[in-house]
Amino acid sequence: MVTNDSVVAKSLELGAREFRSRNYSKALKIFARGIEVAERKHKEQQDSSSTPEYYVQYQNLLDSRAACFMSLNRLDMALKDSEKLIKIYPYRTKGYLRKCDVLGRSGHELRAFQCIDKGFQRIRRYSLRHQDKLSVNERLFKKMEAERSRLAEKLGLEIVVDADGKEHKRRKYVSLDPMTRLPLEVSILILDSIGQRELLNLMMVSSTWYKVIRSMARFMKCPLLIPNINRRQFDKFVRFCASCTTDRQIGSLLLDCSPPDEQYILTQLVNSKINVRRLRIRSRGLSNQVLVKLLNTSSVARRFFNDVEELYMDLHIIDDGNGLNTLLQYLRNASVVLLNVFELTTSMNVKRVDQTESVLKIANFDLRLHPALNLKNNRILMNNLFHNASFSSLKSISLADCNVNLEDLRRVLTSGLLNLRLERIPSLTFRGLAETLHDTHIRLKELRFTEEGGQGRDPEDLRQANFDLSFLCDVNLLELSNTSLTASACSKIIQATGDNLIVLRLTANGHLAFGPGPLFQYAPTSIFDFQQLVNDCPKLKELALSRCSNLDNRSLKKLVTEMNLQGQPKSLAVLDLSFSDINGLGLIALFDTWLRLRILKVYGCDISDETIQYAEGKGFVDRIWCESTHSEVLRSIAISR
Amino acid sequence: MTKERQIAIITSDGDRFPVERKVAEKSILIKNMLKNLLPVEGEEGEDSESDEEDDEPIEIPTQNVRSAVMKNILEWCEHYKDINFPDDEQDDDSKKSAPIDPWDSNFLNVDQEMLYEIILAANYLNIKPLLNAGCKVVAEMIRGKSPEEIRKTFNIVNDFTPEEEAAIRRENEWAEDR
Repeated sequence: MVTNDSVVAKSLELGAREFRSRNYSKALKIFARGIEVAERKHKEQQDSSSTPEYYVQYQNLLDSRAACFMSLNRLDMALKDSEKLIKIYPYRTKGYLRKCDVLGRSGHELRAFQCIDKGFQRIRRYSLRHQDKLSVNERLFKKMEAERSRLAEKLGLEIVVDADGKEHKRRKYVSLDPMTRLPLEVSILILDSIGQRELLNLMMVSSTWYKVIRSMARFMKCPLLIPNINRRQFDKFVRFCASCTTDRQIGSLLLDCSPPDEQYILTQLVNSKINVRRLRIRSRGLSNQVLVKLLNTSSVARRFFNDVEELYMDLHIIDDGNGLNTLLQYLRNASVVLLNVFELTTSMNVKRVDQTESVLKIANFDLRLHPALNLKNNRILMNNLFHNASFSSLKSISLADCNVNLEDLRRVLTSGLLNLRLERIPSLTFRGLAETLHDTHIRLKELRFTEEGGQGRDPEDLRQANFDLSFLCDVNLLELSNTSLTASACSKIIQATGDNLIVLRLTANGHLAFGPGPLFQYAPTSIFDFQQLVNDCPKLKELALSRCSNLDNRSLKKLVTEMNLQGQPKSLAVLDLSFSDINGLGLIALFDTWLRLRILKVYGCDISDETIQYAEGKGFVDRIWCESTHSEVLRSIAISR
Repeated sequence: MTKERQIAIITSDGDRFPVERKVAEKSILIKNMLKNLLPVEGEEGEDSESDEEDDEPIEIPTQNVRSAVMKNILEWCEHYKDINFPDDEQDDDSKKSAPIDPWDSNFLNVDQEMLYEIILAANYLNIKPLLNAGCKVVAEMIRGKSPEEIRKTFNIVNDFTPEEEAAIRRENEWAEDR
C-alpha cells in the first residue's frame, strides 16, 4: 500500500525531476497529486496546536507547482498558488518572491512592489522579535531586498527612513527626458524636424538619445555628406551606415569628393553593400575609363550601379573609340541619367572595336558638354553614341552643346519621346529640327529649343516649308530662345499647338518684333500678333516674353486689349516681361483687366519700388520679381523648399 | 425627435466629462468607437427597440488619461470642433516644416510634465494635429541647444564618459553642417 508519506515525498522528487527536464505538464500533474494529499492533511490538523504533518513539503509543493504554472505561462494559476503559500505561512520568503515574480511578469509592477515590500517588512519585523524561533533563508531574504529596491527604482520610488527608524516611500523626482517619457514613435516624431548635423550632435546627450537617434530611418533616406569629403571622413560614413539598424537603402546621396580621393571613395561606396537609389557625383577628375575599369573588374560595382535608378554625374570622357557607350551599358536599370561632361579627350590607344548595337533602357537622358570642348571630338563622341546605341524607352532627352548631326539626332528621336530639350546644338535651326521631326510620329509634350547664334542668321519665317508641325499638336510647354524666327513663323508654330499650350516662353529671338521699331521699317507685317496668341492659347498659365525686341507699353496694351476682348487665358498666373521697354505705367495698365497674377517678373525694367508696392498692395499680383525684390524672392524660395 | 444621445468620457481617476459628439470625435480612437456604437444620424435603421436605451449617455472610459489632462484635451477639441483636419499623411513634409499655430503654442504653454501627458494622451486618443503640435513644442525646446543645455533643460544625467562623447563626435565627422 502506498502511504501518504511516500506520495508526498515521491511527488516532490519526481515532479522536480520532470520540471528539470522541462516536462512541465507532467510535473504539474505529479505536484498536484502531492498537494492533494498534503492539503487534506493540512486541513485536518489546522486546529491542533502542533505543527501539521507535511507542513514544509506542502509549501514546497505549492511553490513548485507555481513555478510549473509560470513556465506554462498560466500566470493566474501561479498567482493563486503563491498567494496560498503566503497564507499558510506568512514568514517565508519563497511565497513573496514567487508572487512578486508573477505580478512583475504580468506587468503589474506596482502590485509586485507592494507584495515584496509587505513580505520584506513582515519577515524583518518578525525575525527581530523572534530571532531564535525563526530561521530565515539568508540568501533568499537578500534577494527579496534586492528585488524590492529594483522595483522601487523602476517605479521612481524612493525609500526613506525617518528619525524614528520608520520607512517611507515617496515618489522620486520624475525625469523630464522626452526620450524616456514618451514612446519611441513620438520621440522620433519630435526629432524629425531637427536638422541632420544638430541631430548627430544630440547623440551625445545620453545613451538613450544616442539609441533613439541611431534608430531613425531618416538618415538613410537622405544623408548629407560634407562637401569635399576625404577618404577618412567617408570611411566613417560607411561605418555609420553599417551600424545603422535600418536597412541599407539610401534614397538620395550627393557625393562631393576631395579630388585625390574620388576614386577611393567611389570604390569604397560600391563595396559598402549600401544601395543608393539616386546618386549625384560632383567630381573634378572622374573619367569614364575609371568607372568602366571598376565595373569591368568588380561584380559588386556592377551590382551597385544596377540598383542605381537615377545617376547625375560630372564626367571627364576619355574616348577610346567606344565613347560613352561602355559606361551607359552598365546602367541597366537607371531611368534617369544626367552627364555633365567637363572634359573630353581622345585616348592614346584608340581601339575602335566593331560594336554590336547596344540597347539602353534609360528613360530620361540628359547630356551636357562643356561649350569649350573640341568640336571634332565632340562630333565623334555623338556619332558613336547615337550610332551604336539605341534607346528603347526614351521619354525625355536633353542635349546641350552636343555637336550632333541631323542624321544621328533622327536616330534618337523615336516615337515614344515626350520631352525634348536642345540647347546650342551647332548649326541646328528650328527649321532643321522641324524637318527632322516632320515624319517621325513624335507628339511632344515639352519642347525647349535654344539655337546657337540664331541672332546672326537671316530671319526665318518658315514660309516655303516642306514639312508640317504636327509634332507640336500635343505640346504643353514650348520654349524658343535665341532663334531667328520671325513673328509670322512664331504665329505658325503657336497655331500648330492646338489649344494645349500651358507654358509659352519666347526669349531673345532677335527677329521677333512686338511693336514698330527699327525692324518695322523694312518688314511692317512682321509684328507679333497678340490677337492670335490670345486666341490660340486659352489654357495658358505661364507666358514669358523676355529680352524681346520692341516690347513696350504700347505693345503690352495690345495684349491687354485682346485679353479683355476674348476673356482668356483665364488661368494665366505667371508673366515674365523681363528686359523689355515696359515701365510702371504699362505695368499698372496691365491690371486694368480681370488679370490677377501669382508672379510677375520684370527684371531689367524701369519700374519704381512705389509701383511694385502699389501693385502688390492692390492685390494685382502676389509677388513681383525684379532687382529690388530679388534677394527677398530667393529667400522665400529657399524657405518654401 | 433627433435628440442627440449624450456622450460622457470617464477618466482614469473616475471623473465624468459630458461632451458634444463633434468634440469627442476629434479623437479618432473615440470616433471609431462611436462609429460602432452610434451610427450617424440619418443612417439609423431599426432603432425602434433600443429607444429607451437611447436616453442613457454613452460612457467612454479612457484608462490612460487623468482628469487634469483630459480637461486640457477637451479644451483643445472644443476650440477646433468646427475645423476639419485632412486625414491624408501624404504632405507630411510640408506639415513638418510648417510653424506651430499661435493658438496651439499658447495652449501648450504648460509645464513639461503636463505637456508630456498631453502628448501621451493625444497619442493614445489618436488626435494627430494635437500630437504634432505637442511634438513641435518639444522640438522647439531642443532646437539650437548644445547637448549640455539639453541635459539641463530636461534634467538628464549624462551617462557618457568624455572619451565616449569625443568618440561620437569623431564618428560623425562625415555629416554636413546644416
